[in-house]
Amino acid sequence: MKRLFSFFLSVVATTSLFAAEEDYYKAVTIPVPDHIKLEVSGMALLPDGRLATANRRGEIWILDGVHDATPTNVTYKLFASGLHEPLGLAWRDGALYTVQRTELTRLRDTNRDDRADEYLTVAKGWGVTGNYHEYAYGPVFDHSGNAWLTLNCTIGNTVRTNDAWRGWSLKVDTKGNWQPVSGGFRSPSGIGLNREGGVFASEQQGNWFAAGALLHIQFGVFHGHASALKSCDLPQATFKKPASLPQNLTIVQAAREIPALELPAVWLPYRKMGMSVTDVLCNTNGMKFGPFEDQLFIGEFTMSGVNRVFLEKIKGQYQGVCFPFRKDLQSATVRLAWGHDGSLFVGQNNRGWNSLGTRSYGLQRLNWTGKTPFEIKTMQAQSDGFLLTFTKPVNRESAQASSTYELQSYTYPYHANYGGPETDIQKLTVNQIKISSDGLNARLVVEGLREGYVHELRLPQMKSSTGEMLLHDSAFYTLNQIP
Amino acid sequence: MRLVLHSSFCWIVALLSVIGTTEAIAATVPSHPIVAGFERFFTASSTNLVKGGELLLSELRCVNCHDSGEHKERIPTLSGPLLDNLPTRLNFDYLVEWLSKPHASKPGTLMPHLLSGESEQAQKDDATALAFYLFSTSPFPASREAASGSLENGRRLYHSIGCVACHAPEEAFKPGEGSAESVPEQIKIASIPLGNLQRKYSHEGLVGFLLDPVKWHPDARMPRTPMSESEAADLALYLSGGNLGSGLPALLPDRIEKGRKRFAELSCAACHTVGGAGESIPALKAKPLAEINAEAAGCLSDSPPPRLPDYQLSPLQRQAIIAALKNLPQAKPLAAAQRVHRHMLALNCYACHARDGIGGPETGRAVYFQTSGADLEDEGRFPPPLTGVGRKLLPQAIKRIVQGEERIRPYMTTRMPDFGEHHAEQFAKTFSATDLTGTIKPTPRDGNEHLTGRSPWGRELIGTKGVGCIYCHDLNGNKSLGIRAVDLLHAPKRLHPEWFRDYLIDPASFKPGTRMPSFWPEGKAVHELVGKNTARQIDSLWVYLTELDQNRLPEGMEEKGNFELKPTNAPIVFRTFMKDAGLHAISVGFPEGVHIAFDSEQVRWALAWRGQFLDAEGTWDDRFAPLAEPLGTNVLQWPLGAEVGDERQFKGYRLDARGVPTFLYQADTWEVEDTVEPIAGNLRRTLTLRGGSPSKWLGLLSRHHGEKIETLDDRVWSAGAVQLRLVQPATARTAILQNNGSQHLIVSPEFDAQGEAKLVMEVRW
Repeated sequence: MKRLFSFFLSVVATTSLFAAEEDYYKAVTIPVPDHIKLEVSGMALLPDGRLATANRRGEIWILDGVHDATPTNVTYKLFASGLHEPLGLAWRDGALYTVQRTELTRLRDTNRDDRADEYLTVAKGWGVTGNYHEYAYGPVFDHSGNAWLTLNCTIGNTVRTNDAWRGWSLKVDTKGNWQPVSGGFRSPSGIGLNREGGVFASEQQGNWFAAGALLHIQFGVFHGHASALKSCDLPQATFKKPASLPQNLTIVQAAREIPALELPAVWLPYRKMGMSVTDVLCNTNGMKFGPFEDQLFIGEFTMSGVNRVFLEKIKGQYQGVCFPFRKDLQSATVRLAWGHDGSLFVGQNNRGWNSLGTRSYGLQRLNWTGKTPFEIKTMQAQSDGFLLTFTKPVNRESAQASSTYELQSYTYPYHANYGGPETDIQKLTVNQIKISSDGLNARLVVEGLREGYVHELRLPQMKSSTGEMLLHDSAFYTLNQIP
Repeated sequence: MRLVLHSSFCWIVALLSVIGTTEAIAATVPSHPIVAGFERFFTASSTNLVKGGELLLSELRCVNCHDSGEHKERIPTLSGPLLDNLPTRLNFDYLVEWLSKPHASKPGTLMPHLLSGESEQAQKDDATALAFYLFSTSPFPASREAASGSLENGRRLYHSIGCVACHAPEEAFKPGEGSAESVPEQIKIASIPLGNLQRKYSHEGLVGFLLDPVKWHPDARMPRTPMSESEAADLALYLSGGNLGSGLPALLPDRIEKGRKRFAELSCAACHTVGGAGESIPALKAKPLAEINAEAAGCLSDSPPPRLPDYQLSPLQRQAIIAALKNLPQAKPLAAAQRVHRHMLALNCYACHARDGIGGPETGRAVYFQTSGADLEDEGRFPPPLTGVGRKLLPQAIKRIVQGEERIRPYMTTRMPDFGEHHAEQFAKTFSATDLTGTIKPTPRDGNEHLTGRSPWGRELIGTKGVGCIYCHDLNGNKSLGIRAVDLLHAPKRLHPEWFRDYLIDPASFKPGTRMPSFWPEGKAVHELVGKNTARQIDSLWVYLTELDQNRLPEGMEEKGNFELKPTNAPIVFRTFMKDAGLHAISVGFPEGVHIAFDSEQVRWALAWRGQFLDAEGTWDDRFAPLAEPLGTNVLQWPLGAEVGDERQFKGYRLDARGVPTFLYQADTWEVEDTVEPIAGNLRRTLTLRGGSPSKWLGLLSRHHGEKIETLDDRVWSAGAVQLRLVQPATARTAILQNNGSQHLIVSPEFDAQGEAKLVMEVRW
């Protein structure tokens, strides 16, 4: 009997846990006909409100009816096919743009029958060796109309030898001239702008990256993966190849030794924030998608979810914090796009790797239900600690107790091994807590901040003034600079 | 000394010895005896120097003369190499050299110098006598086998199958092209010396040793790495240069007798048995270990007095041995965990495996651990960590594995060697005794048979509609749908079911850094099956795997799609990696059953064929993107050399109302539109040129290697199987150009008033 009781308890707990995120951000599944393998790899909203999706099979489908509250009448039109593994899609000036393995392509329908009849090459010429891992992502257009692409590094067997610019980001101007910008990526599967127009790429945990990361793309920057250094010998390279790569240092130490090496703007600690980082999308919808205006949403592949990032610029460099946001979607999140109503489309496929969930591919829409979750909205660095902003006023008693704040910091090893543990872990104590009069801010004075380190904050006991627990009680701040 | 040379292969020996490679292998070997476990884990500041000293007392065979008494288990005796069959295996000259000065002959050797107090001449005489004696105990070979094998393959094997986990790699060898370690680190831990293999072994002797080191040296730390005879020959050729041997001596009876006497006097038998005659020579016994003064005297002094073995110990080694001797009265029997550690130190398991946070490939050697399974990354390269391995693996599986019998990770280039039954049995016991502790919750298997899983549920879970194990894992030899992680077939034969369950619930807690996600996060089932009962779901997987041979393959694996592209109503344009059309290939399949491929990198027509079009599986479904090939027949490779213009830049393509693509490119100053489409089972090509110099000629057909383009009439040419008819313009001037054995059919395009020229031709083959 006792066993039966605890069984029920666990069911109840499980249900409420799963229901919680769904209460605020509801997932609506877009139906996919059986004959379409919608392994979404790119999404672009068209001016008329239809959604164009690229898939791993090289097709572009245009979907109508995807914004319907209950999308039961979604229609699919095949716009293009035969593309070579397009891993991005963008709409600009009357055309769709996608990056195939070997080129950036502009697709147009010139006779208005909803089928592309023009597949024009905008830019090509980066190295392609025939190695499977050489995925090419993009484009994302910046505020000046330049297209940004990222190229995976080569892993394993090749057919040809030209691997120029593998593991680099490229910028293509409006005339189709392209140039390499930064190097040292492993698998930068997502590109996105922040509100100010800075260009960011996501990175996977793997060799030289001990955890997932968000990287700021800038000219002359080395992001860390060694195989990109081969291209430093080419005349267009934007930084000098380091004479040697120190290993078995922490990434913070390595960044001091290698002038071109820039630390990620945000680390996404492995498993704690998911296992595989994908798309990057800035919330430019004002308050249509809830209280996280101007923040970045980041796709999570393995755990079939979406995470959230808040960035700030300290001493001229972007850094910031990541928070869990939404999990338990039906399949691996690969692409994110805004609907015209401010809902978030999540394009999914788990080709090659497995993910949690019930499907291998598909499309879902996240709608804000209008209810505000109790969340840490932002975490900002201060010269002597952090400033937390909550979405709702906090319960003063729980917020004033220093035991509410569990804080530790760590960094990662910099090495060729795959992944790596959190290292040089230190527990931190919060010496002073000041709650603002409206209860929305907590100002923490913390001893022992370390530059370059991830500062992991957990608030399992924090309550709102109405007694709610935090929907997500953790935050991971990458403190590259102490202001 | 008179040597009888059996060798009519002398010149081969000479030739091969030039390329003998032992010397190419980085050889700054310290002069003290190299015991791998000691080198790696003990320094002057070690707090556990006693353990290092005990390791040395055993590994250096000190206790073979100095009885360790009650401490036998802590400090076991070990035999030296068997001295059987030396005439077949070794070179006589080397043996003399070696016995007179072992440390000069092989710096780092564990063999002490036993003739150190004698004069040069006496050393040489004794060594020669000993060598005579040793050679006299086994028959001479009728002749020695000539070396054969591939030196280059031997070199590759040496640097990839695990030899360099212990031995030094060749400095010039570049391992792992394209691997993440583009800047390899220095190797810091001393390598086990190889000595001068070229002088030591006959080719046959070295091959025999490599195939089964344990046979010749039962207590050696060199295990039997699985390899074929031809691989052993390749390795031997690489390591020794294929030496035939320096010839065999004529044996002189009085020397043999002297050698036998010296063998007894020097107590060689403490470590060695002499084969052949099966002779038993007693060894002298020295002071028992417990009675030795723990001080730097005797064998342990800086330069040991004459007639005592000289090991050339390093100061640290001496310090460690003295510490161990001092500690001896307090020494207690080893606990199971300590036994495991000592055993792993002695066999140098730590060179490849980590356990409890120590060991694993050192950074400088990591680059020699490679994988053929792209995408598996470190989990595909590095032998698995052994933390908790006794909880994971069934004892009988541990035994099989230590005997090198179960290689379930075919993608790993290193090969788990066979350490012999004795070590295998010990590890099976000690790993289990150490790791199977605490309370481990039983699976439903145990006494709750009504709660166990069922095979059909397991099948559903493992497939694409379940938790999808087969996205990453092979199953019973069937390829996974994505990366090629370890075949799950092996699980029930190897794993404790409790570990299988606990691992699936939280993989990272067992294997930090693994990319295996949990599909039962915090123990909670995500899949609806069996009322979301985690234990029964996982047990169902277990049952399914156990009964794999009687079951259908799971969904996703059983019903792999048919990916043939069949153009029925309209052309199919399909970009992919393609054999003979390059990595920028654009293939076009026509409903008429004639198909073509354009190479948009070279900007040229590359292929045409008939029948079936293409299979898209490599592009759509195989993670490793193999090159596509025409499915049909009559494959025509467009002859190189007939491209439009010299400098070409691809601009894309347009589809007409029927879906036929027209390729667009810039060729020198021309803007080109290029369309090929079927006509009556063959092809028609239409070229439109704009904005170029009208006087320039254009290539249409080429032939190479002295073969000729034949003119059939003034508008039809043939080049081998290809026939080209210029349809339009009827008046265009043509010529055949000769150039270095190649012929090119060229045409002068006729531009109209708008600056446009159009050429139409038919291609038959």
